[in-house]
Amino acid sequence: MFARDPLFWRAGAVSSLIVTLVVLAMLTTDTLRVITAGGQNVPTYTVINHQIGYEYVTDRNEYMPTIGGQEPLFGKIYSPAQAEALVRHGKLVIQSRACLDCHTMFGTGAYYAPDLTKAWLDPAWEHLWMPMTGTHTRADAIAAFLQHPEQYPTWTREMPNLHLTLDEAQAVVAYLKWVSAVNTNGFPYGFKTAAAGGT
Amino acid sequence: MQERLSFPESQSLALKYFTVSVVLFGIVVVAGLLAAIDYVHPQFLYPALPFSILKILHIDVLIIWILMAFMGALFWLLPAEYGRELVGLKLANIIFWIFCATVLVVAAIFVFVQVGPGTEKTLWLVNQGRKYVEEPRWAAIIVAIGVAVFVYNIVGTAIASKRVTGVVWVVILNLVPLFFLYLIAFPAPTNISVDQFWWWWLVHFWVEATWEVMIGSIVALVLMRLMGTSRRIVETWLYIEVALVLATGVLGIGHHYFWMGAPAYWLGIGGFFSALEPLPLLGMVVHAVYDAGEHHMKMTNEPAFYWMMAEAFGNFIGAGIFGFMITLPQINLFAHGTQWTASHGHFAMWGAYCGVISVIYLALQDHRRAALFAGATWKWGFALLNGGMIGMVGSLMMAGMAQAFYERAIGGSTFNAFVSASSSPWFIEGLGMRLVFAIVFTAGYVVLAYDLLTIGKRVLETSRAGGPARAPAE
Amino acid sequence: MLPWQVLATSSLLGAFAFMGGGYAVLFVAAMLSERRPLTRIAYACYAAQCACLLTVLWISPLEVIWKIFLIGSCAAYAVIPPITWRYLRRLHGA
Repeated sequence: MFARDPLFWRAGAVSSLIVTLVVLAMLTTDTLRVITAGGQNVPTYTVINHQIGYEYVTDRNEYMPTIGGQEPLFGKIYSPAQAEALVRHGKLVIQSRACLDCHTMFGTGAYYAPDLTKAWLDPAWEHLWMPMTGTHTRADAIAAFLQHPEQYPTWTREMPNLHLTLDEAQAVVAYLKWVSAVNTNGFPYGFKTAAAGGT
Repeated sequence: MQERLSFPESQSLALKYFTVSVVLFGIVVVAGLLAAIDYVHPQFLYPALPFSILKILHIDVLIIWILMAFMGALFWLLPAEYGRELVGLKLANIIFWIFCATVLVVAAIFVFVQVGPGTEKTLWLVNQGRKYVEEPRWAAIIVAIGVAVFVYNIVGTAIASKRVTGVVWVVILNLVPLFFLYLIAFPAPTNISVDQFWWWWLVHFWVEATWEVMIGSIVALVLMRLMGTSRRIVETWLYIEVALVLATGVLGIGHHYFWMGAPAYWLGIGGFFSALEPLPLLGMVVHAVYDAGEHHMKMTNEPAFYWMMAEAFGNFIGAGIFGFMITLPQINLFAHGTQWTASHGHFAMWGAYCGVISVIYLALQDHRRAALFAGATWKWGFALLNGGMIGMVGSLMMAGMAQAFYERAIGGSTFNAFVSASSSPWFIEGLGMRLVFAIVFTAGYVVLAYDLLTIGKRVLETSRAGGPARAPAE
Repeated sequence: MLPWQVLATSSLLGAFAFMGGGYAVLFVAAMLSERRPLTRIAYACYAAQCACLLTVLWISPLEVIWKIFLIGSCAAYAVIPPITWRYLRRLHGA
């Protein structure tokens, strides 16, 4: 019987690998197009100059980011090159401080601290940290918190002071703002910004 | 001792790899235990040794542990396949010591330096901050060189011996992606979607493809030794396994692409292929039970046999059932990135790779020339480790379900929702119970380590007192 | 999906796969030991798996395509143990 012949199954293994790899290659090409900054799902870095929201879209039955009018970050509008450099710096800070070994982003990382996918939009900045840090914008509140998290503890699991400079903290803020505008197929579900009445 | 080995040079190197891998397993257990304490007492060791560092040690050392156990297993088993010592062993020995030194230095850097300023220099020298591959780039280069030398040992011997069996072909072809995928450990793209897209190639294709094939090949070699199964059967089964793993696993990567910015078609593709994964694993369980029934009477190495069984069942339950519960996109939307994921991750990893313990027992039996490996000690280790693991993943699942319910489905995943879900009694009880079972697991590790050090020797000592020199153990 | 439906659906899917595993293991064990009662317990496991499936079809808001997938999957669970068993007999016997 052919099924008892190892060679039959070897052929099966090789062909299943070839078929799935071809499909994977095609999907990879398409996906990379969609997820490049400026692609269909991932905004260009200059999105940090805009207002960002997160709303339920009824006909798609999922939550989607919205990109609104101009909203300077730290009182500044960034050129494409400046925006990219700032966000790049933010990524380096996030990696060098091992942020995703406590936090998650897009749900990937460690599960000890909150997910950062929509951290920029979190209503807690308005409700908790803006009063605590005595700042007037969300961006300043995040930057102040990131530089001295130990001064603004809100819970038993505290964030350690990772010695971020002001530049580094602002770069992380820019990064979080950019990330919050990525279309993540409706993840996280039910997230409400302060403007939408979230707590 | 060494002159007793059939291939002393390769196999004494294998024993070194096994020794280090068991020590590394210990570091994984201790770091995991300390991290589990953090969930119950967040101020424990804080801020000197924050959770992030413990977590890095826990999972990075895990990778090296299993990699070293694989290398040991192949150094042990392959010479018999080739009918000769492996080539390049001098180099392999040098790399072994460099490897060990690197692990020590990197661990010291993680504990004492931890993080650095947001520059490329930090990524080169201190910490790359990418899950599973946090080791700084200089160390990653050494790991890559180590793997390259290993490839040379295996492939070079194949060329020199001109005798390549089917299993060896699988091993060799599998080393190619194993090496090249690791190169994904180096870049640091600004765009997190692109970063995670490729990073999942490394993580998913290592853990769910090349490592699965690697352990499959090792199990094939072990089955021939342990149970005297014929080569034709073992090779047939290996090819079936490879075919099924690749047919479901390659596109199964899609279940990591649901929520990271990738197009929505991954929801269907990833959900479909990963939901198929339990089916081949079910076939493996049937096979394991069949083998157990056929060969149970002839068993001379009980621990090796039972760890092999634990592998088959653990794989089906941990990867198969636990994964199936959360892999459909409509459910994953709520379960992803919670303790529920951690529950599945722990059980799947353990189930898929606890089989390396079996190989170590098998090698030790040869090495110590024991006619029989049996007794009570290994059973304690086996029961505590597996019982501890089942308890941990059960507790984590309870906590994770509470998190999915309160934080994700009701609370909308804000900071506030995260904190209040983490304050729910289900979550707190769950992580408390996880700590208890983590202690059980740690006890199991201690017993296992003791047993590995002494099994087969205990016998000889008693037998020297009067009995036959090769009396059955205990 | 409502919060309770997430947990209920997932638990049912877990039980579905677990019962499928129980059926497979007991089926092979029964064939090996040639004990009839064991076979009956194996089939009872499969019946429980079907019951899980029906409950999911009934209470869960999973999309239709996933429900169809689950029905196909349940059918696969039914035939995998006997087919694998027969295949293994032939493979080892020859």
